Amino acid sequence: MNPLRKILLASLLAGLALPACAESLDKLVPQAAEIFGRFKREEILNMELVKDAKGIVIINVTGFSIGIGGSGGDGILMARTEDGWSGPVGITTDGGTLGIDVGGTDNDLVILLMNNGAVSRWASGEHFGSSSAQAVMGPKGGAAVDATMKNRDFNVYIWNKGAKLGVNFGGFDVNINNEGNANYYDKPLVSAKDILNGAAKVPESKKDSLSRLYDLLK
Amino acid sequence: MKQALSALSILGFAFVAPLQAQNSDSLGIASDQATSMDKLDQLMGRAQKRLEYIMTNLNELTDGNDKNNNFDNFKDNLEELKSIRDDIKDRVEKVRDLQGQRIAAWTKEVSGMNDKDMRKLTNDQIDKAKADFDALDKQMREIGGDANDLTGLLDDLQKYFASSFSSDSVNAAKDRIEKAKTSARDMVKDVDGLRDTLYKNKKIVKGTNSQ
Repeated sequence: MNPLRKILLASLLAGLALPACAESLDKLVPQAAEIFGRFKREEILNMELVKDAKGIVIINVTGFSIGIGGSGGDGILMARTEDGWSGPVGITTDGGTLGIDVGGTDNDLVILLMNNGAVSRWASGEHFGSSSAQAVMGPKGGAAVDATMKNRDFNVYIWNKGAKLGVNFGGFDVNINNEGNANYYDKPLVSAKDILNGAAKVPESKKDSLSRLYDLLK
Repeated sequence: MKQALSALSILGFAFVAPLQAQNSDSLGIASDQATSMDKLDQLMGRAQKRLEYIMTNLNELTDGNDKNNNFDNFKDNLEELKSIRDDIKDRVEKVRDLQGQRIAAWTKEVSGMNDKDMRKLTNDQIDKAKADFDALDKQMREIGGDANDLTGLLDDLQKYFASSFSSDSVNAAKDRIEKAKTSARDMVKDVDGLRDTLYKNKKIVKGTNSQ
């Protein structure tokens, strides 16, 4: 292979392996509402289980798992507070196989976090090893919910152009989108913890665009 | 043995009859119509997102927070919204046209049926398909009218700010901004309702509804 082709190929592979570029929350919130709305409308999600969830992750993941490895995701994390759902925390994921069964795909994921420990792990920007979490596909809308579903760490829902995929969940890092959060909350040092426990309030100017997601979560 | 076979054939007919009520012509058009409904749904999702961006732009304009270049973003988002609205209009016409073609093909198929019961069953299905689509179409027309009003409001604001954009002009337009935001909020909610109806209709058209 000539040197120029080697450089081009290396650049291409490096580009594909990079973590997802973090998007602004002004765009991620409507994207999350769009994803959640479709999961709800098409009864992919079990709304009874949503009512029991302590947290929720809504994320779009693009995967390049065949031959290259890794995937990049961009989305939001929210937690249940005494006053309802918290404001959104911008997050990205990189590496691993978060929901990706085949390479080069574009997946929307909704992950219901069923206990406060699971919420904390996402909020602290943890690395999820391949066997570090109990995660299985959540029951579909209308299905009966039992204690097992409520007691596991995560219930995962995946949408890929209507295809049903198995859960392939692990080996990825969660990163907090600090820049996106600072811009959205207009506070340079706002923490994920403060957002999720309601200490950092959603600015008035952002409430209209967030209301659709809150409505859909009911 | 003959009786058993006869019973089986009746049972088989009972299961297959609803599927046979439409043949390949109308089923082919139904498939195109369902695809067109999918595209319409995606366009409406894009319009909702754009409206949500616009609400944030308007809120930040009112707050006097222009660090995000809100007026320019508002103009860009409004242009994009109008472009999506035009695509939605075209797509709605396409869905209506396919509905007409599907019903016409289906009706023609009925005229070739010899079995009286089958003809009645199919006519009932056609009547139901028409009624379901009429309900969807009524909702599309109502929301389409509201969308035109909202675009008019946003257009007026854009023209007003293009001629004079200052904190005073923003203050003077607060009531109009509020009206536009309320209208945009209602629109986003109504479109979610319309998309629910569209999804149910698409399942009926595709024959995958469980009702």
